[in-house]
Amino acid sequence: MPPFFSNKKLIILLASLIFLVALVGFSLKEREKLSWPEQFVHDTVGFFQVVFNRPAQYVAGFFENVNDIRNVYEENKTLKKHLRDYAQLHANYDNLQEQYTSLKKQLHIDSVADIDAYNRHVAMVSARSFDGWNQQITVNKGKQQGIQNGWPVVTAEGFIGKVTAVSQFSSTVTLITDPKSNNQIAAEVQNKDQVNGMIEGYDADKNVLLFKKIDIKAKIKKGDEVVTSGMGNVYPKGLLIGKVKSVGTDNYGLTKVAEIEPAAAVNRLDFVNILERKTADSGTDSKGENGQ
Amino acid sequence: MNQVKLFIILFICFLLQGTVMQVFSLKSYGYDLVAAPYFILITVLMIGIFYSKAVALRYAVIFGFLTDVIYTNVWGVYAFCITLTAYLILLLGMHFNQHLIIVVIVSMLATIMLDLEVYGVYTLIGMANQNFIAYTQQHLSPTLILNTVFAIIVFYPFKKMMGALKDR
Repeated sequence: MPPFFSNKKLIILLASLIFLVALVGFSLKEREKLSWPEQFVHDTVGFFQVVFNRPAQYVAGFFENVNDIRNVYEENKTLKKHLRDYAQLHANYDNLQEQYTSLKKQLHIDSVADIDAYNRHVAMVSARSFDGWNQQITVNKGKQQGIQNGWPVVTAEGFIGKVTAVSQFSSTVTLITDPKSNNQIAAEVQNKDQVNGMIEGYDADKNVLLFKKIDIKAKIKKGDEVVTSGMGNVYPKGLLIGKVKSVGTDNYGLTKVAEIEPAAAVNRLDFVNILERKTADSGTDSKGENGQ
Repeated sequence: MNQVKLFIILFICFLLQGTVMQVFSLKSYGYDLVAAPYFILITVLMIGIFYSKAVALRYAVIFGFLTDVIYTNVWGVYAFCITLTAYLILLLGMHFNQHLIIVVIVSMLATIMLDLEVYGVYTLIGMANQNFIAYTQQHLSPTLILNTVFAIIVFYPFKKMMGALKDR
């Protein structure tokens, strides 16, 4: 029987342990750009991932359709009811929009860039990290399609994350459910008080986002909707993040902490929208205004 | 030529982990369970048992690192853990015969080892903040089942193919 650990092997093990720690340390720091070998690997693998993902999506979609057929009648009834309300809602909306533009014109604030405005880039999810710990997805649009680092990503239901690495034809999106603490989002509660705070972190056991740094006197209750606040010039205003599930105080009793139930179904993604904020590159004047 | 074949097989497994398996993942059907596919590990073990240990370890490093670059943002964790697990298991595996039951048990052992190693490292750097009991229920057990099934499925094809490669 060969010796379990000969001296040479022990040294290799120790050396690789040190190398591991160094690599982990290197990769944990935030990097703005991927080096070109990385981009090459990402793009090559990304191409094959799309090839594999498409058929899988179709098969999954087929089963979903079969499931849906059973509920068609019920759904149709409720949708018809909604449609009747929709006509009224649309009339109201047109009315308000008209008022808004005319008031805006009277105030001469047309020239100021709108911090809510954004362009959409639709992208297909081509892969997803497979262990439960890394929460990131790969989408099939990259630098060539104009995607940049840090842009927010949403689905029809709400906010899901941001672009954290871009290569030429694919990019990586880190989801809001990622446990890394540098995943911070300026958010506000949509009620009368417009309470501000930060989304910091995710509780995997309860499946809730943690909404921290809320004023202790702020009025916030279960069921309130939480959206991005547009502060900090990173995300546009008004992207739905989720609903308040419970409210408590932090460890020191100085601020409130709320648990937020994510609005978007993060676990089932096929297409996502990457949002390009218009003001972010429209010049320094609008930037200065938002920063205040 | 042999090497190209092995590389393609491993690359397909690598892609399956992140694409097809994620479309049909337990989470997407609403269960709060994670069955992580470690197909690279199982495939590398099969190569090590039926073909050559050195080749298996080389691919363990390559595809472990590829996993790190593509699917995670922390480098080196999978490269180290997969290689270490494959090395230790293949040290033991040399003394066994190549029967289906033995190989499947060895693959199960390897899956548990790898999952615990990755959980340990991620806990150390603060990326897995799940407590141990919840982890064993929601992560380890589904992962074990999925990879055992995969090992049973690929056992005979691999035995046949590696035998053919060796004869050449």
